[in-house]
Amino acid sequence: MTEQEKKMSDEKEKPREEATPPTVDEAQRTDDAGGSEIPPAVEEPEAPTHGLSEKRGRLVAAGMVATVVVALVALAVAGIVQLTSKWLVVCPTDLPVNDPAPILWKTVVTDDVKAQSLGVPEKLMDEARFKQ
Amino acid sequence: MVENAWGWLIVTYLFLAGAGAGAFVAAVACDLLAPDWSKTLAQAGSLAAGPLVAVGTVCLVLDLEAGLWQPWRQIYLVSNLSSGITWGVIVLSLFIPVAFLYAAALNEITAVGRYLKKYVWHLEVVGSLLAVSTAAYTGILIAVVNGVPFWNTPLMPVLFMASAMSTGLAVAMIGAAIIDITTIRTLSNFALGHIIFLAVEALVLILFVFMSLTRSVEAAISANMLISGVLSPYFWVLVVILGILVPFALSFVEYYEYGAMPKYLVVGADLLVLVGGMSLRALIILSASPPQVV
Repeated sequence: MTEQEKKMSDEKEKPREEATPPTVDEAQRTDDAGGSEIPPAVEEPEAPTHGLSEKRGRLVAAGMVATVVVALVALAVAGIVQLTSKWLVVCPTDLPVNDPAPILWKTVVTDDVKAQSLGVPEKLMDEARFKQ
Repeated sequence: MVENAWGWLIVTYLFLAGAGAGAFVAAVACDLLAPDWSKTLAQAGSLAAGPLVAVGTVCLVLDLEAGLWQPWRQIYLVSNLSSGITWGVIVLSLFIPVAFLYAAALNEITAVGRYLKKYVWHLEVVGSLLAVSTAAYTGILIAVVNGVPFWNTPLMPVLFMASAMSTGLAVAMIGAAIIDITTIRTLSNFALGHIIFLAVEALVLILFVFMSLTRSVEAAISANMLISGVLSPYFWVLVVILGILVPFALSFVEYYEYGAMPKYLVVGADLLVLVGGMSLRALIILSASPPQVV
């Protein structure tokens, strides 16, 4: 930033500091920033009429650009969700492998009542080895 | 993806209308409270409010398929005054022209704007009431849906209102940066607004999710879908981290550093607030899906 731009920037910010009395916090901030003194007010030259219309055009354009930016954000979020949702895998709530529920349920609702032996089933007894 | 009768057009409407209404409130607040040093922000907010709500309303009308192909049936939208939706349609229909007139008057655009310059204060009062109603209506629109218990809570308008104020302020700040990037130091004062609105939004969101977990089975399914289910990556990344925590931290630094923060971080924080606002609405709509997808 050139010296002239810095000066213009300072002049634009100056009304904010003049309009509201500085609080303790703001005074502290000014001190922290180096305690530079505010330059004396400079009368700004009156803008020509064509400048005003140009400024208004710029304002309207800025409003439009802001609207487009917001719409683009909406589009981007929709795009991200739509595209990445294809990668989502819905976890099953129950795994069918080794699920004893269907067999147990069949046993419960079956008409053929069979005598069930107590203790460990024979098949399991063959496959498993228990601690002696 | 989750099947839902409420699609992206409604989500876009909820987001744009909320952001537009919030931008209007931000513009009025700046013009009334600090007209000399926050003029650029007031100008940007006023200029973006009308187009945003108008584009959002177009999305809403496009979603009303019967109303789109048989527009004469839209008269039924305003025929039942006991319905919240009827009042929402009335509020939207009034707010859009008022927002455009306010932008014209505040910035002295066109002969109408120059004529209305002396009535700016009246437009601000009427427009603010309509803007708050518009922001609340985005929440009421889905809170009145009895078929989705997750949405059917009085907290919904409060959540959407907080988000609308936050996103509206972000729009106004981005617009102000576009108009004049040298105002970036002045914008540091408004970071306090982000800190407050994001904190309120986070608090209401926590209440909303935890109350949903205990309110009903269907609401709990939707809430679980957000916090640990199929939509949880979007919820935690886009809404909580990028949409709330990161901009909150950046706004905190921005406020206390006062203008020392790089410009791209200031604008970036605002963009993240917008991403969070859009994602929040999208996820609330998408999470109201059949329970078998969980």
